[in-house]
Amino acid sequence: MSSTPMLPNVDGELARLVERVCNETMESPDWERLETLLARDDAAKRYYVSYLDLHAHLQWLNRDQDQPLSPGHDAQCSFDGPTAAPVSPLDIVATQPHQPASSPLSGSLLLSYGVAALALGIVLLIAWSSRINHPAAESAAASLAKRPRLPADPWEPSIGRITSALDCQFVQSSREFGELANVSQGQTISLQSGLVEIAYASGARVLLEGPCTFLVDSPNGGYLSRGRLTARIVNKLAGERLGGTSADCFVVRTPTAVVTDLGTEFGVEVEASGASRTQVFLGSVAVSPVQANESWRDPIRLARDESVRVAEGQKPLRESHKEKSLVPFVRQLPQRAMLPMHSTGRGLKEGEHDPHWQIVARSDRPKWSPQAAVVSPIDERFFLANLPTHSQWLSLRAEAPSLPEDTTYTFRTSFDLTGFLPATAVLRGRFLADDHVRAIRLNGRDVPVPPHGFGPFFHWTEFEIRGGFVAGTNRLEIEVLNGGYESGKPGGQSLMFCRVELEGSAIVDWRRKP
Amino acid sequence: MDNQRHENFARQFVLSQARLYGYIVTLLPNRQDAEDVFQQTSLLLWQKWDEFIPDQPFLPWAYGFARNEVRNYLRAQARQGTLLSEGLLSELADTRETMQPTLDRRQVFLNDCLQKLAFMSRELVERCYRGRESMAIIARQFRTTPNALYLRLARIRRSLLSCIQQAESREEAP
Repeated sequence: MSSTPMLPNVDGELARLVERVCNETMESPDWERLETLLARDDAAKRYYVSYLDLHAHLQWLNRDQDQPLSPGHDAQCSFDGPTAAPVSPLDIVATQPHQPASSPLSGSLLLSYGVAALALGIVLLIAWSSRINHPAAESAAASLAKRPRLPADPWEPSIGRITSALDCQFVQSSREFGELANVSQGQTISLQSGLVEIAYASGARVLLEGPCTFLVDSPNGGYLSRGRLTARIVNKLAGERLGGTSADCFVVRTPTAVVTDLGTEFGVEVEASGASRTQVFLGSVAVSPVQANESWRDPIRLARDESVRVAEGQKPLRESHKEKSLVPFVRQLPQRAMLPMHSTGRGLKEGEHDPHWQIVARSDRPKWSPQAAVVSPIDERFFLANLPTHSQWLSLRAEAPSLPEDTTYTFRTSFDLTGFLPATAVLRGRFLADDHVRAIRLNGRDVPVPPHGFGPFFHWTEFEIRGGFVAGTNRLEIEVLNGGYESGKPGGQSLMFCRVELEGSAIVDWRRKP
Repeated sequence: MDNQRHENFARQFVLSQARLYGYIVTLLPNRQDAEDVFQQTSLLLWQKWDEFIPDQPFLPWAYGFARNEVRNYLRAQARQGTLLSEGLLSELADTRETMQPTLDRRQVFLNDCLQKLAFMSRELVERCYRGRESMAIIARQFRTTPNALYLRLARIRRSLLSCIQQAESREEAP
């Protein structure tokens, strides 16, 4: 039985103030009040510490995903090692000028770089001086390219994590990896299509682009036997987040080359023939060709915007990025973006036709021709007031749209998913109706309608759609039943309205067009 | 020998960074302030590495530097008027150090709880906490207001805290 102290229950005021602390919206009186609440109560202090620790951890997990590369990285991972004079870690410490707390450099990127470089320098140089500074380092590394390292003990702890799996189809015989799955040494990721991002515990991020096959053969690299990847050494110190250490350079092996990062972002492609192409986006890399011909084995240092193609039995060929034949690498995971959707009557005046919503069917008129729905004035005593900035009530006509009862009216809107991945789309909506929404359909398929009774004139009913989206134009239909309850007589007429608010998002289509 | 000591120090430093950052944020919640002091403390630790005795726990040693750096920073910035008093900060620092083993366990739970978040919530957390975009911009993209976004974030944090609490309860259960 452990003695974990539980999180204390706190009153609402403390919770609100702590939220404001996290949101950085505190004002002077708030601080005074927080001081009072915390000073008198140990449980309040524990709550504050717990909550701020959670807040700090969320910051930490996300803080350096897009930080710039550490400029100090280059010197430490150099594969020019045998000819470079090793530098003692102590020398590096001694050469860092001390910045007093009040220094104007405090908090600047320069200082961040300095610390990152300093920390990296010491950690990496220890490894460098013991491993890389051997004359045979390059040839040994190169010889590894031909055959990937043997898988490690299957019980070995994970060396990274899948941080994103987007629109993926895995090769049939391959294990499938979902988001946040752990990745262990020795695992192979075989993608038919899609994107997978691996965050190594060492701080590197690798974006695999299907079709490709990638063996995670070390905590600081992998073997790409076909396809494409981009690697980005985000911040080696960030690797600690995943429990790793940062004592190695990041290395991508291919059948024809060993690519060693020198503080950088780069892409590697392995063609069907086994030839590999390395392209540098930022920083530099060392490419060690794996060649029978000794004179072609010299490491090639590539700087920004340079690339090299290494094919077996051929002299390595430097290429220019400017060449149009080079297919661009996917360097960043595409982002989710809002879909262009239209809430009813949004931005319109009462009486105007809504160009985005039509009434396309009436159950009592088989030969009905679709017509634009109209923004209708309503009696605010009985209906939620129109709000042009968000949504408004629609009907067949503007004034007192009394329409046959026991009849359904189908409202339709369209939206275009061109440029988005349909499989990633999510639509959230809410509706009001006079009298009842009988069906919601996306592209002709029914989606569940939440229970809502008749006459939801003030209280929204929310719905969500995941799945069923198609490329290009999508159609959403809301089928409204004008109930037989208002007029109280068969064949009577009563008001019929529909009001819908929609928002949706999807991931931008990253795939190259043929 | 020095190399071994240094390697040990480097490893301890790297493994303690998140906790050190959390410690600083507890005392100095403004993100930019916390980042500044974190960088400054990290630099100082690397300068003092040879004063670290390997057999002693690293965190209390590092926290001592962080506490001083927070104090120096607040004095230099003359920010006392808008933050908590030095006395209370000192008490909070003590509380946090006492709670360290608990906080460490909770971080493990937190990682599990994050995985259980709905993807939109996870995305919101990532974007808001990444710190690259203003809340106004994120709010616009989510078609809401910054205030609504703050509320949503608060709900997410509270649900994470509740999830952690449940995990702790399960662990406590016989």
